[in-house]
Amino acid sequence: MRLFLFFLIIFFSKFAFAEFKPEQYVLENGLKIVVIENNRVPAVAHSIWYKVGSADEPNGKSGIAHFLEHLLFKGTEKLKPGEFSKIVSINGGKENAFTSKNYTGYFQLIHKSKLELIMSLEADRMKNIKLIEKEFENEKTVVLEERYSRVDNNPSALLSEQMNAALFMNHPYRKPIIGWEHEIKNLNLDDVMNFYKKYYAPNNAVIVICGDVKLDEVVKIAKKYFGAIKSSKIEKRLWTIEPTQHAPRKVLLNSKDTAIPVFKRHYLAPTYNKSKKESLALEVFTEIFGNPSTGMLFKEFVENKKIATSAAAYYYSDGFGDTSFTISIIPKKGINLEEIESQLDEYLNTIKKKLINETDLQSVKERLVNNTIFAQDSLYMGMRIFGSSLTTGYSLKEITDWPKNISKVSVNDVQEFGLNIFDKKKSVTGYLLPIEN
Amino acid sequence: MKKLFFVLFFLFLNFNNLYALDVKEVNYYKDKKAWLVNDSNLPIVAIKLAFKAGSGLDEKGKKGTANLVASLLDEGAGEYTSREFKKLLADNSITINFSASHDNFYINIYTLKKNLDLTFKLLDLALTKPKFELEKINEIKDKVELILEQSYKDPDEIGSRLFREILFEGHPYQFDTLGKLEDINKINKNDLQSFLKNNLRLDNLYISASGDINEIELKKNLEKYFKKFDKKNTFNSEIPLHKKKIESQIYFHKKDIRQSSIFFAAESVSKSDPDFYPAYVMNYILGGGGFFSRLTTEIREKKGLVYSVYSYLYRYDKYNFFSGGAQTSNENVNEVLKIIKEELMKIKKNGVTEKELKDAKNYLINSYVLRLDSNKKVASILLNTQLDGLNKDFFEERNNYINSVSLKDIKRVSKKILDEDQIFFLILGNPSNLKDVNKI
Repeated sequence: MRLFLFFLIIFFSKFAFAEFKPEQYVLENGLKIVVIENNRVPAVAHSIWYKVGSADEPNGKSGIAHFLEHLLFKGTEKLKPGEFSKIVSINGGKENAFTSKNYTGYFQLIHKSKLELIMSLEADRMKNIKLIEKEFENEKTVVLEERYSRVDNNPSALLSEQMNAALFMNHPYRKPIIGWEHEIKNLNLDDVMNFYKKYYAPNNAVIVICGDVKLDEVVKIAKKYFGAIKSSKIEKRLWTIEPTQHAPRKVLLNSKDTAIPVFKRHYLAPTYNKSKKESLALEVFTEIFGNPSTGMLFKEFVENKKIATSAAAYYYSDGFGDTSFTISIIPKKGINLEEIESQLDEYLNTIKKKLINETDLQSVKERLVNNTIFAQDSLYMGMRIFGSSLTTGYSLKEITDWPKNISKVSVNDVQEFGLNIFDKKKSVTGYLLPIEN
Repeated sequence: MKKLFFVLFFLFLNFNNLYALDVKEVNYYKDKKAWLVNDSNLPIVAIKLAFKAGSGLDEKGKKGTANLVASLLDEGAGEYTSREFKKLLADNSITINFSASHDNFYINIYTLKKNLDLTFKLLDLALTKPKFELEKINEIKDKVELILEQSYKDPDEIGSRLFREILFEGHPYQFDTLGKLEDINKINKNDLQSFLKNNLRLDNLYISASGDINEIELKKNLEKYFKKFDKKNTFNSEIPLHKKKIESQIYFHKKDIRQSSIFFAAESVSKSDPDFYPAYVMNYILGGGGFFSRLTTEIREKKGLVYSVYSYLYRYDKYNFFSGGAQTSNENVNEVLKIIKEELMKIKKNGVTEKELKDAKNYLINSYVLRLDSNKKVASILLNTQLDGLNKDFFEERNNYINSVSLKDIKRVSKKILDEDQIFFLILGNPSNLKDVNKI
């Protein structure tokens, strides 16, 4: 991310589409445009998403996708470094960008009368960035400082980075999005420009706009500015996939910079793209099992056994191939992580019986679907949900059908697919251990 | 020629198409009024309430009371156990959040219109019949203690703790809103109940709402559930003004980490002060926003020394300050510190340029609409404006206040705020060759 976001995302997943009414259009050069109309204020959240992320980086070059994201603000044939941001700002816009394993996105929130300006700028930097060596080296140290802030100074992020590399033995998701320090240091201008030329093209991008504007207006502007950009030959993503995993892994991180021991476990889990029915069931299961204040884990560890101060589970269905299902538990003072681990393993063995009844399942599903209504209460959220889903394996129809598909998940699906996750051979257990001073 | 095309775009800047909020005052009981924006685009409602009573009122030896109350109100109330209460909220997609800042006790509600009655009923139970079960009290205390321990080990947390301790030495604001580690266990059920009894009063209550709710519906619910809080203020406790002057010093706390943090602070002005908007615009130009604030341009864009450098204005009820900071590798600390100081003094001495002022106004005025795109954000702005002691004319006047800021105003206010004898710096990390520091 280019700068810390000042508006936080409270919840952010597929829970979001019942009432959204997106429309789409595809230009001749392959650029897809999706508009979700929202007329509350005369403003738009405009974004462009490239289907390229850290998982697409060549070996030994981790960090390119994110580095390139920074460099898109460093000038084009027409604009000086920093001028893009300046124009957005003096026109009353807010902007930022983000990089994930699967996509790189750029967005602006701005008055609707400035949409054409913004789209013209975004079209310009799709193909025309111009970099000089000095700017490049300068931004490299900025990226390294970003890594030190986000990861190296943060024990919990460091543990995640280590666990992630252990969970994915072969899938490119094992690399950190920001990149390994030594590889960032070795990146050169050619590496980044080659990556840019290869992946930044209209047929590898989606424009998502949520706000007070209609599709035909957007299409007109898009044709004017993006229409002349030629499509590129984009190779199909062929990522290495996980082999059979035979042995549970364990990662211990001792840190003098934390007082709080943390227990974490990742299980390998399928993405929506890999196994749709299973993934939908997992989303429901995660709410039942892992909700931080009403879930089964919370009840067992915090309320019944009273050995933890928090216990929750998370699952993000985005992506290709496998993803992770994560359990996170913070023990009460005086309880060690080994105790938490053995209690967890024992507990996971006991829940093999009946997980949930029909009535409870209905109310959980209703809760998930209701979240779709709240998700429409901001331009940013709609833009973010559609953009990230469209670049991580969901079609537009699958996004809008999400509530319908969730409501089809049965007690049996939850039972079968939920419990399938807990195969210890496909897991990494992580301990964050404070070192006493 | 192509270059010209972009230039043309920003010659035509203007403040047209500004969007104004339609704020209604809903008189729900005696002279009490809530602020409402009725918007029925979505069948949801955001309501925000604040009682002016936060952790700043926690008594000596019981620091952490306000936060414990906030954390425990949804842990069972009336006939419902904690588990039942939370299930009711979750199953009906109702969010009711309680939290304590130094000055206020906040309640944030986010709910479907169809569940409005149930939402108010549950809120009422939480405020008037919380269970405060010993078991739950202990569960939450354990959690709070863990987080407070973190403020002695986690670099970010150590930084904010030391920053508060320097800025607010001798004042209740010096403590974390979560309280003091050694006090948490001394707080008992009685203290929690007294907090509610003393502080939940109509005379210190502020309410805002935005969403699919009209004046009649809002009035009906507020009157029904809040007139019972019409009681005398027998507590009479108030947070004192913080008057201690900042000493110009560089405080240093050594911690063996990869990257150091730098903080700085100086006294500033309140939102009702005529100098507030000049200060607001000055801060935006110096380090408040965007990628071309002076600090970001000089330290990040030109030199690549940081990922993040920023400044901001912050308001407490009894103190207002200007502050900022940066994170940088240990070996860069001296250089970053030097540039920050230079930039502060440059603004103090020369003010800002006409172009900078114009660009800042363009941003601050034209971007205001982006703060109003959701019920949640609108309810927040309505509440904060009341808490700042302003009336609802503010929404019509706000852009004029910004537009009327002059170069002279900025020079005046910069002299007042950016006084090198009254700014402190705090450095946390393991930098080399730091001179003239006060080790803490």
